[in-house]
Amino acid sequence: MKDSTPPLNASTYQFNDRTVEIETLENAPDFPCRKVSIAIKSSDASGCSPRCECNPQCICVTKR
Amino acid sequence: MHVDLPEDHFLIPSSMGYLLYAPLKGLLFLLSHQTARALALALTSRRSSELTPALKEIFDEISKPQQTRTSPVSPLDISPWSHLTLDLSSRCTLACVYCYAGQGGRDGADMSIDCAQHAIDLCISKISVYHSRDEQSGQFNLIFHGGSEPTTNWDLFVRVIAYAREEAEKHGLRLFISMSSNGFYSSRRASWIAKHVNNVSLSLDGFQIVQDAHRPTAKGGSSFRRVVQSAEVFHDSRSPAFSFGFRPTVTDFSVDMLPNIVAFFVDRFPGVGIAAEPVEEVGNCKNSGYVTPDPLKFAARFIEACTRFPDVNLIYSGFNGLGNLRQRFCSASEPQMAVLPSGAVTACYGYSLRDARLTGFVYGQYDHVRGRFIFDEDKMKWLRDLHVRSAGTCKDCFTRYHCAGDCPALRIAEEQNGVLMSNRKRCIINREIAKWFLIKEITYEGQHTSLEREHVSV
Repeated sequence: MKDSTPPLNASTYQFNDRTVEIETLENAPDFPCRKVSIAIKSSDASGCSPRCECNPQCICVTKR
Repeated sequence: MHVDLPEDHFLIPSSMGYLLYAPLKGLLFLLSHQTARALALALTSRRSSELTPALKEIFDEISKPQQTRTSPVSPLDISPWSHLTLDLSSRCTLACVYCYAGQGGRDGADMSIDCAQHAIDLCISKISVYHSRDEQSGQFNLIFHGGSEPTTNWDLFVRVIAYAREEAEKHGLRLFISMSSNGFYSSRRASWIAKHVNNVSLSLDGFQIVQDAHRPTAKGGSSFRRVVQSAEVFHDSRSPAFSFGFRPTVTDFSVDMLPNIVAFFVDRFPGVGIAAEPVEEVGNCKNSGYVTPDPLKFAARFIEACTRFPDVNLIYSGFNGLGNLRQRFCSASEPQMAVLPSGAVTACYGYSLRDARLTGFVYGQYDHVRGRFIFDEDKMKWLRDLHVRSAGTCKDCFTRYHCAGDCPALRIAEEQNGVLMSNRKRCIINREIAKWFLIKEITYEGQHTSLEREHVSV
C-alpha cells in the first residue's frame, strides 16, 4: 500500500516568513514589481461561520 | 541580506520571485530578487530615501499601521448555542479503514431520546433570548455528526428531527438541519433524508476501487453501489431547501487519483461541491496500513484538480480562499455544543474520545438523573482562546489567517509532542496550496472583478 516515492523536500520546509534571508544571486532575472489588492471578506460575512472540514455546511456555503 | 518584517507581513520565496504578502491589508506584491533585496535593505536601515518611487510606495504600504480596514477577520463572539451537534450512536454500518472512531460494527450505545431533547430545549431557549433582541438571529442549526452513522438508529434519528422541528416552530425559529452521512442505506431512506434534512455531507471517496478499499461494509463487502444510489437520489432532489456535497478522504493509496476522483464526481454529479481532506492517522489507520499522503503530493494533486476543474467548488479546510480570512479553524473555540451518545458535551466531534488528546475538549455532561446539562466554565474559557492569535507557533507563517492555526486538537497534540513545524503535514499542505493561489492571483490577468489590479514599474 505504501508509495515508494521519496518525499519531495518537506524536511527543508521553512515556516518563518517574517525573518527571511535573501541570498545574493548574480544574474537573477529582474522584472517590474506587481501589486494586487485583495478584497477581504470575513467568513462570517458570507453567512458561514468558520467550521471544520467535517461540517457539512462548509461544502455548499464556502466558495473558493 | 536579512529582512525582518513587521507583524503580519510576510516575504515568501517562490519560483516566480518573492511574494510580499500582507493579508490583513489585502496587499500582495511580486518582487524580483533585486527589488526584494533593495526593499530588505531599506527596511533594515529604516531609510527609504534611496528607493525608486515604486519601491518607496511599497515601503510606505508596509510601514503603514495595520488598521487600514475594519474587522478584516471573522469575529470571535458568535453565540455557540445557535448550532447543536448530536452524535446519536456509537454504531456504524461501515468499517472504514481510517475511521477515527475505530468503528467497524453494530455494537455500542445510542444517545437517549431524553438527552437529545434536553440538548435541543437548551439551545432553543438560549437562541430565543437572542432572537427576542434581534430578528436576524432566529435560526437553530441542528447537525448530525460524530464517530458513527447518524441513521444507524433510524427511529431515534426520525424522532429527534420531528422534535426539533416542533420546538423550533413553537419558538418562531427557522430550523436548518445538516448531517454527515455514509450514504449506505435504501433509496427510500435517502429520499426521506432529502425531504427532511437541508444539507448532507456525503462520505464517498471516489470511484469503486477507492470507495471499496477505504469504506467497506461492516462485513467487509462493497459499499460503492448503494452509496452512489444515495448520491443519485440526493442529486435528483436538489432544491433551495436541500443541497449536498461530497467529502472524499484521501490516503496514501488514493492521492495520485485525486484529480480523476474529482473528474468522476464532476461527470456523474455535476454542480456538487467537493471537500477533499487528507486522512488523519488515528483510529483504524493504526492497523490498516492506510496512511496520510505525502503532504507535497496531496497539495500538488489538489492544485492539479483545481486547475483541471476551475469552475467546481473544490475545497480543502486548510485554505478557503484568499479573501476569506479567519481567526478560528473550526467551531471548537466557540465552543460549539456537540453531544456524544453518553451525554458528554465536547467542543470537538472530529475525533473519537478514545484518542486521549481529545479528552481536553470535553466541557460538559448531561445529568441523566436530573435531566440537565452541567458545564465546566473554566474549560469553556480555555476553549474560547483556541484561535490563531493565541497559537504562538503560527505567528510567523503567512497562512495564519487562512488556516487559522488549523485543527486545534492536532496542533495542541503536535506542540505537546514537540513535533517540528517542518514535520506538520497539514501545515505543509496549507502553505503549498495558499502559495499557489497567491501566485495565481498575481500572475493571472483580469477576470476576477472583485480585485483591483495595479502594476507598478520599478
